[in-house]
Amino acid sequence: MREWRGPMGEKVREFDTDGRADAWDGSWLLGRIAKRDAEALEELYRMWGDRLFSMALHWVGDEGAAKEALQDCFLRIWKRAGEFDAEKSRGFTWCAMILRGLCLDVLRKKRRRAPVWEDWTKMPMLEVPDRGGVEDLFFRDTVSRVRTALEMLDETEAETVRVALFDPGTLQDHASRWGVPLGTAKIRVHRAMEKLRQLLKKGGVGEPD
Amino acid sequence: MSRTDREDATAKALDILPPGDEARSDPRLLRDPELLDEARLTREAAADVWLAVSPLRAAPSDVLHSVMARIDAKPPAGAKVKRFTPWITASGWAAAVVVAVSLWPQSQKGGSTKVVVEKEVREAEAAPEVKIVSEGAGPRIAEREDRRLRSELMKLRGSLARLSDEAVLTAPRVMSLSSPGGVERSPEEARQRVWAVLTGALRTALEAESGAPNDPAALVIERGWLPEGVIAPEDGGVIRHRNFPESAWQDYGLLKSDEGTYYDPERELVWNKDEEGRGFIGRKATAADDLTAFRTAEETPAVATNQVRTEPEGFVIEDPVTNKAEVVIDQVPAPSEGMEHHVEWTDAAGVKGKIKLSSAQAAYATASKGGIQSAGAYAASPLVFQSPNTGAIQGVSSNTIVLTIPNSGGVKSFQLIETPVVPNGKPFRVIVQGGN
Repeated sequence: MREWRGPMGEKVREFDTDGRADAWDGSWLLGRIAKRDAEALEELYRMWGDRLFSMALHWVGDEGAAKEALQDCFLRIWKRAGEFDAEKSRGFTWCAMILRGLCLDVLRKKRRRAPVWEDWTKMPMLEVPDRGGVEDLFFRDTVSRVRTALEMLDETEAETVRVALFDPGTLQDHASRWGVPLGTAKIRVHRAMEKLRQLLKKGGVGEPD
Repeated sequence: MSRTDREDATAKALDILPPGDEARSDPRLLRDPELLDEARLTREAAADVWLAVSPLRAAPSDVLHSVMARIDAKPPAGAKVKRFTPWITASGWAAAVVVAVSLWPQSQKGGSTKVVVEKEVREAEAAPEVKIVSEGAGPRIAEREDRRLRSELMKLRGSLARLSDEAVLTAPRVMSLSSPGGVERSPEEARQRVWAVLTGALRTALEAESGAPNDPAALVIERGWLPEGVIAPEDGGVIRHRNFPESAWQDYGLLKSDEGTYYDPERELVWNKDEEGRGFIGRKATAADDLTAFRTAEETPAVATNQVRTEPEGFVIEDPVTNKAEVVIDQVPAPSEGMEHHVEWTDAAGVKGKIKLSSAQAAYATASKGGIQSAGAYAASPLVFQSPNTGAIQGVSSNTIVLTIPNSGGVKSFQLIETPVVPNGKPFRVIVQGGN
């Protein structure tokens, strides 16, 4: 928090939001779900269903599969809400990671059906889309931070993040594709993600520490 | 903690460790606090990026039904209208709204907190100094708020109390906008309305973006009443009315039942509340309907209902922390022929800002301070979609403007006006205005 005197001598404080002005706390609803409150699950769906469905659809690229992933996600939330720990994770991240596991399953199953993943070129791009004027009013700060942070990554870092986040392959697959040993692939992914994290923490502004 | 451990923690968090990799079963990745933190931060970054790069789509409602059925819970009840009300958010609009809800000046009768703007000085980065004078236990929570909302408001109030004077400085200031001569809402009405407008705006925008592929309704009416010539859909088709005029049902020649359903004898339509709280669903009456249950206004005891407001109204919510002003204006009419809309504001330093709003299928605009801006897009015109399946027209009068003014500098006055595209000496018309 910064504190200074304003032009009229008044005391002014500015709070450090740590680049997370809109970190969402869904722990209260998740706590109710853990106590088998079905109404809370319904509320959670109305609150985050749009975002989670959008994320699943964007990644798996198939409406039916995305709906299935969304359904399974909320069923898992229902079953596992008792495991959610607000000290260890944001509620939205926790739900998104459940969805991510389900989407990964979908994509890895698809991949097994073909010797080569044919849809690799269709992998989601790492750019914040033009939403045609439709903005997410509740996560707009996140979107803004991500947009700025992604612009600060160089081409190699951006591609590494894209692969790490959206390619259903393992690090071994990525290492093979990049023509590097597994250890090098781990370093590459870690460094790119670390830079991304630091940029996001700073609101996407400036060079990371 | 070695760098290798951190790399493994990152890979494990993203679930990209190859099968057989030793790190998969490394207990340190599950126990070491620093490695756990590494994984947590990685997951958060991944979730944020994933969210941001995904085009928004409305979630299918049938998935909710399926989930509720699978957990053996009662499906969303028709009698209970449950709107999406995440009061405990802390983000952008939501943060502003949440704090505004708690700190909203109460009516004199029940008020216990005053929000006093001591001095509004805005220069460069200076934040306004706002003082709250507490005269009681805190904001009154209306008895008629339902239990859940009360709980959430109580929790929020507790959080604000913990923030102590920090909340004073982070509290946004809210300016109500109303049409000239319009009836001002009570603070209680206004604080409920601001949230409803926000959530409605996003939902409408999402559905418009998605083309509402999962809405079975052949016709969707946002406000007002059915256009002339519209008849009841056949073959089980339905019409959705997202803001059913419950307070003016008599004016439309409707009959009402004790259960709160309505009957339109002219079109033979029965209107029931939507199970998912998205207005009312109208369907053609069948032989199974007991039409004797519906009565005229004279036969029905007067019951207070929520007034449906059809005048433009809005709010400017300014957050000193981000130095942004968020503006939402609802019920904005489309510009008349040869006219266009502008928003204008004056900040604490007397600097004027102006944005021209262009008609588009959008509900968001961004402006930067200083000079005349033209970075706006909004949904002032009714949006019409041709359903690919039924050929019927789906009309969504999405007439809500939502815009952000970064570096707002303490908005002192604000207005939405309609002016001629080609200046002709005629005065502009004020649609809504407000001022501190």
